[in-house]
Parts: sequence; C-alpha cells; structure tokens
Amino acid sequence: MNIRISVPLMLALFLGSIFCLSGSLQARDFERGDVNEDGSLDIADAIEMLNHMFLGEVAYCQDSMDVNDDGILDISDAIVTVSYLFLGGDAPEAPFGFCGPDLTEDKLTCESYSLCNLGDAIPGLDRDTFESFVRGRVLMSKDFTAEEGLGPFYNATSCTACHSTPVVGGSSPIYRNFFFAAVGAPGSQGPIWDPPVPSIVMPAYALPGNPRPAFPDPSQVGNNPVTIVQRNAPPQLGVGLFERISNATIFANADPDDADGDGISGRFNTDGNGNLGRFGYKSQANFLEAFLRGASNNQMGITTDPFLGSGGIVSAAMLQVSAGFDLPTTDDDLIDDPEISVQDFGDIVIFSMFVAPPPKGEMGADELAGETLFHQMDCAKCHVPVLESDLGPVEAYTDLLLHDMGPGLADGISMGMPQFSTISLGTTATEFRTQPLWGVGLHGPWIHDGRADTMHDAILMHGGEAQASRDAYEALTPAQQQTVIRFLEAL
Amino acid sequence: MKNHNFLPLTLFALLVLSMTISVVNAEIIDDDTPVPPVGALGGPDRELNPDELEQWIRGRKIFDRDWDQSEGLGTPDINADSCRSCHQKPVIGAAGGLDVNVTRFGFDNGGAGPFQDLPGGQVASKGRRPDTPGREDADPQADIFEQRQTPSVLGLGLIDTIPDVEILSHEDPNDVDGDGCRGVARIIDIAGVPEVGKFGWKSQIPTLSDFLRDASTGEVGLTLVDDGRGFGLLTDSDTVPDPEFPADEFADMLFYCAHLAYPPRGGNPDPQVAVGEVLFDDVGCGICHIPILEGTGGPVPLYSDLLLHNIHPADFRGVGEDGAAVGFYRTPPLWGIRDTAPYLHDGRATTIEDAILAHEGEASIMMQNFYALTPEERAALLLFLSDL
Repeated sequence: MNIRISVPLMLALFLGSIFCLSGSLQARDFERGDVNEDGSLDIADAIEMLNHMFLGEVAYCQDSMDVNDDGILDISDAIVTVSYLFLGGDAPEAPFGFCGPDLTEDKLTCESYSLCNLGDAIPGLDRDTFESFVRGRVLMSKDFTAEEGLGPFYNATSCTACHSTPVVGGSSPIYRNFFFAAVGAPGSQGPIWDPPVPSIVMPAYALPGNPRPAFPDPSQVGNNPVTIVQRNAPPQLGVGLFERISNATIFANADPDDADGDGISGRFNTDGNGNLGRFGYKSQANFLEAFLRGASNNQMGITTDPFLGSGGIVSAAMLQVSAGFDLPTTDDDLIDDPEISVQDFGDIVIFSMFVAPPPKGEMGADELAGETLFHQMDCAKCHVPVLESDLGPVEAYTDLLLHDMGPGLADGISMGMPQFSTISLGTTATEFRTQPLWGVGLHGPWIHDGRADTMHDAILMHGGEAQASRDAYEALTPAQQQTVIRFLEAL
Repeated sequence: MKNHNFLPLTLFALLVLSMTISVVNAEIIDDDTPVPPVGALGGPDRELNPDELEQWIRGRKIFDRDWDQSEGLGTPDINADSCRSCHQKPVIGAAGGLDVNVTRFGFDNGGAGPFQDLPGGQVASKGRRPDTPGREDADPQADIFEQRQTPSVLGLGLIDTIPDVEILSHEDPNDVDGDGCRGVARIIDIAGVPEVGKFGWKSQIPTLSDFLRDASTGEVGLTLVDDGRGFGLLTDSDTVPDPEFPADEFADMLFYCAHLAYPPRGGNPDPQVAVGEVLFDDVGCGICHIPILEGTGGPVPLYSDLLLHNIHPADFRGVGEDGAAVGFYRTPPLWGIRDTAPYLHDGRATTIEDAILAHEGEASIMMQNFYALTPEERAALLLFLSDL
C-alpha cells in the first residue's frame, strides 16, 4: 500500500490527533505481572500467563505477561513470577506495582489494560467481543450527517459529543446539557413519546434550513403544565456492570418506608416493562441496549432496530424514556430506518457493556482519612461502596435506588411506570437515583443538571434524606473536607 | 511497545482515526500541550519572542477554558462554555460541527417578507445556566430560523490587517463589469465612524477584537470591560460581578487569536491540483473568492473578497439585517476548507461539492461554467479545493 501523506497533512494529523485522542493510541500503561488486572500479583496471574502461552487463551496486554521484560512470552515469565511469590526471587521488572509504560523495545503489544487506562475494556473478553468493543469505541465518535440519517431533530451529531470527558464514554461540560420537558402535573406526567401528551427530550436543532422544532408540540400540550429541566450527560464508564447486579442485590438495600427509622428510604423504580431500573438519573431504565437506542434516537435522530427482532406491536405507553426494548425506532427524515445497522449499533452497545469502570487512584493517608469521614457521615448509606455482580464486586458507590434529595435539588419530574408494579410508584419530583461515585472526580460539573462547579458544592447541595450527612460535612474543618474530596477523587 | 515500525504505523492509524474521531467536549490544553510549529495548523503565525510565546500559550489556555458558573458563565443563556467548545475541528481555534450551530430567528411573514426582528430577541440559545429555569426559546411569532456555523478563527489576525480600502476596491454593486457578480461591503457605524465589516457570516463585525467580544458574550455569556465600540455586553443578569472576563485575560486571548497561523495548504503533489487551480479561475470562482487580498503586513491568501453577495435563489428565506439583506452573506474564506465540513452559513452542505452545487443568484454564470466542465475537470477542481 502506497499512501502519500504530505508533510503538512502529516503534521496536522499528528497534532490534531494528539489533541483529540490522548490516551487511545499511545503505548498503554500497565503493571507488569498483574495479568488479570486485579491490582495485585499472585498465583492466579501466573496461571493466566500459562493459559495464554500454552492453551491459547486470549489476553490483550502481552506486556503485562512479559514479567522478565525480555520481549518474549515464555515459561520463564511464569517461573520468575512463582519464584518472586514463593521463593524470595527477584521482583518483576518495572513497571511493577504501579502503572507505567514499557521502556524497553520489543514486539509485544498492549491493546487494552483497564487497570491503568481509562476507557479500556474490562478484562477477560473473548476475541470477538473485544474486537466489537474496539469498533464500538471508534463508532462512538462517528459524526452522523443528514445523508446518513442525522435528524430531523437532534442535539448532537455523535455519541462523544456528550460522552468524551475525559475519554470516550465519559461525560461532558454544561454546554452539552440537554433539556427535558415533562408534560403534566408532577406525579402524573406523560411518559416520553407517549401521545397525546408526551414528555420529551427537547432537541436544540432541526436540520439546517428547517424551523427550530417546537417540542413539546403546543397543540398536544394543551392546558397541561410543562416542566423543563436540564440533564448533564451521565458518564458511561463501568455502566455495563449495573446490568450484572441482580435484582435481589438491589432489593436488599431497599427500605421504601424507612422501616429502620434512619431517615433514609431507598426506593426502586421500574422501566416501561416493569423491570427494575438501573440507568438514568431517575433509575428509569433497565436495559442498556434500549437505553442507548433511546439516546441515539432522542439525541441524534438515529433510528435503530432491536437486536432480537421486533416483538410486534408494543403499546405506545411502553416507550418510557427510551425505545421499547423490542420496538424499532423510526423518524420523519428521508433516510430509510434503521439509520445504523444492528452490527454497528451492536458494537456501540458492546462498548458500553464492557467499558471498564475508572481505575481507583492512590489511597494515601489523606484519602484514607476522607474515607473514614465518608463512613462516619453516613454517606455510604446511599453511596453503598460495593454491590455484588456475576462478574465480581462492583465498587460503584451507589445502591441504584431512589432517594428524596430535598426541595433544593427537586426537578419536578416524575418518571417510572407505576402501573407495571404494585410496589413502585415511580419517582417523585424530589427523588433521584444515587449517583455512582466511581470516577466522580473525572467529570465535572456535578449534579443531574451540572449546577455544581465543584464536588464541594455538590455535597453542600444535598438535602432531604441526605441533609444530616450534608450538615455533617459542612461542620468539618476545611482540612477535613479536603480529605473527603481527596477520597472522592481517588474513586 | 516500541519497534522500528512504530512511527509509520502510528501515522497510518492516526490517518484512519482522524476521519472518525472528531469531538472533544472538555478542556484539551494543559501545560504540557505542545505548541505546533510556526505556520502549521493551530500554530503561531510567526516566530514569537519568549514573552510573546508565553502570552500566546496563556491565550490558548483561556480559549480552551471551560468557564464555571461561579466565574460568570451565561447571560444566563449560553451556546457554549468555552471558545474551544465550538472552535475545535480539526484543531483548537478552528471550526465546529452541526451540533454547535447558533440559531437565529425572526419573522418574514411566511416568506412574503419583509424580514423583521421580533421583540423576543434574535437568538434562541442552545443552553442556559442550570440555576435558571426553562430555556431560551424563540419568540412564538418566529417563522424563519437560520442556523449559523462556527467559523474558523485560524488566520483571522491576518484578515484583521486588510485595510478597508482594499475591500472597498473590489465592490461592484451595480455589476458594471457585467460578470453577474456584484459585491458590496458591509458598513458598520462604530461610534459615528463608518468601518467595513470583515467578520461574521453577514460581515457584521469590523475587527478581530470586536469578533471575540461579540462571541464571548453571545455564546459564553461573559461580560467585558467597555472599549467604546459596542460589541459584547458590559452587564448581564446573572449574579456574578461584572466584568466577568478580566481585561488582561481577554488581551491574552486576543493575542493568541491574532497570532494563529492561517490554515496551510494541504500540499497534495498530484499535478491535477494545479489543473484544478486554473479551472477555479476559468470558471469564475475567483471573482468573489479572490485568492489574495493585500494586508498591511503582506498578502493574505484567504480566497475571499470579504464582500456581501447573494448566491441564493429568489425564494430563499433567511435573516435580514440593516446593510445585509435576506440572502446576502460574506464570501466565506476558502483557506482551510478541507477540514471544516459541513459548509455554507448553516452547514446544510455536507461536502465541498454539495456546497458548490448550492451556488445560484450572483454565482449563476459561474455555475453554468461549472456544469459545462467535463467530469475529469470537475474532479480536478474539487481536488484543488480539497487542498485548501
């Protein structure tokens, strides 16, 4: 292949890409020997090395297996590991015990190592899934054009428009906020896209040359009150793991009537099909594929087909928040639906399902002091540090339940489908899902609409069930408050 | 992970990925971000002395900075929370995509005209400070909406050096030379003194400083120190004390923008590029897209006359302003267009070819010439344009 690239173009590409890509193409940081990315070197890592070398098991960071840094993966790497662990032998070469690049020249690769690189895949994916993940990460940044189906109404032209702080799959600053209009009195607001009175994501744009869309349609709204709120893009890193947490695990923390009298309830929400909610600021969505298909249509006007085929006609009332899980999305532009193939959208879903949570930072004395205060102030009553999943512990610092956050944060929006559940009434106007805190320091601004410039501000905005914890934080000395922030930044 | 193939492989990967990776929504400049070479895309326009370089680097950081609500973000309305929010494709300082367009509106009586602004304002901003309820909507009477694309800032310092007389010398309001192309300058009254507009889709802004002031308020919602020229707001309705944009920081940002190099040519060695360049002239593109205007510091290879033209069909609906009627837009400079899709004032053209095909009105003769070209000739012309 003969590719002619002029020097200025090469330079432009190079510079442009440094600015745009930071992290995704440079040699990856890794920890030598920690093959399974669990943060420590032990016999399991040696076993994984051998499985890779002799049984052909996939691994995506060869560098981490090259324990003696000789540029070759062989039995000697396992021997060095075992010798270090049990016989007092030499430690693996650097980077060992910390994240760093490979400083010696060899032909080994490192395609993914989530313990040291934001936005990489969780370990252990099979080759097909991993390749789909990598394709999906690229498609996240695809800019859709009108010819490809963008619109007729949209807020963004790509997923990364709103999900790229600080890496693909992240969050965004305030200017990428979108508006959501809930139609009806709080408590009885119409679900999204549900005629005749739909609540709706308000698009900022129609395709050029067309009038700005009047959403919600005034003729449909009639005399119903309209509540307009903002939403800051939720970060995606690690969200796939929420699908792996069982209903029973989430139920275990629920206390809808505050039976234990600690002032903290913990209710759950359900999606349009009566399934326990996990996603969204109101925990209103259960199924990642459907949630993403909803965002694709509501934010970009890109229509999709359900992966498992359409289940037939689903009542419009089921289209809560996102696409009905088995219903195609359609729009009124001239491009045939679906506007992205199941294969391509599948790659995006796979990326979201398997993008790893942000790796934990260094826990020094300050951070540990902050952690102690975090528990003393009862923050962990809602920001539950760990939930179990079938893929292991999920250290997201959330219970995925709804809590009353008081009048200051109340947005007047009720979401949920109480008619599908005898025990959930949907959210009230003051309730929000406990926001996961993993990676919370990576993506300001904070709070559902980005109203907090700093995490300190965000804590002080807590009210309702969190009032006592908030007051406890306010009563700390500035130095103590700083340790709490340091702890949060390390999550 | 180093081997002797690393550099070419990386460049190839970058080539592939640069076609798909497009948006960075938060701060991208830190203290370690390299300064691109002089004359390169996003780099300084000339060798800077150490003090100047420091100021340029400070200015770039301010251009990139996500303004906090506590610092005065919003009027409360916003279209962006930094300059870089919109000016980032393909490098900081350049252009933006369809989802950072600005929405302008008015009333033209269903197309019958005349266009008039409405009491409810001129712009429906995309966003708003979250502490202010609702969003800025268009006046309910509005029946005409016009989106405006983010223009690249690269090279604007050089355009700032073009004297008014140079622009006026190309005016031909009555088409005296009979080429179908007219061209009128936009005259702006600045405190009683007429100046020629050089910036903005309707050439509504005379200087780079005015342009940055206008956008700092209009898009980011920052208030400014009064410079007596009428661009940018001095006060707004958020609770942060005015001026929100400190004068010294604004000066740094102005210095950075004034010393951003104009976009360099692509440098495609294909001989058809030169063939296309001749055709560009033959077809008559260069009558409005004048390759070079003379600035006080030397030639400015911008491919524009900075005059207003109407290249739209008679039934075109859009925004009209005093001195720039409906359908009239400033000839957009073509330097850098290979990197700044989509095209036209509202981004309705996805490709350069789409943009060419949208030319009518004053460009009718040129379009007849364009249609008369052979497919090979058109390809050569497009190749030339794709090298700008």
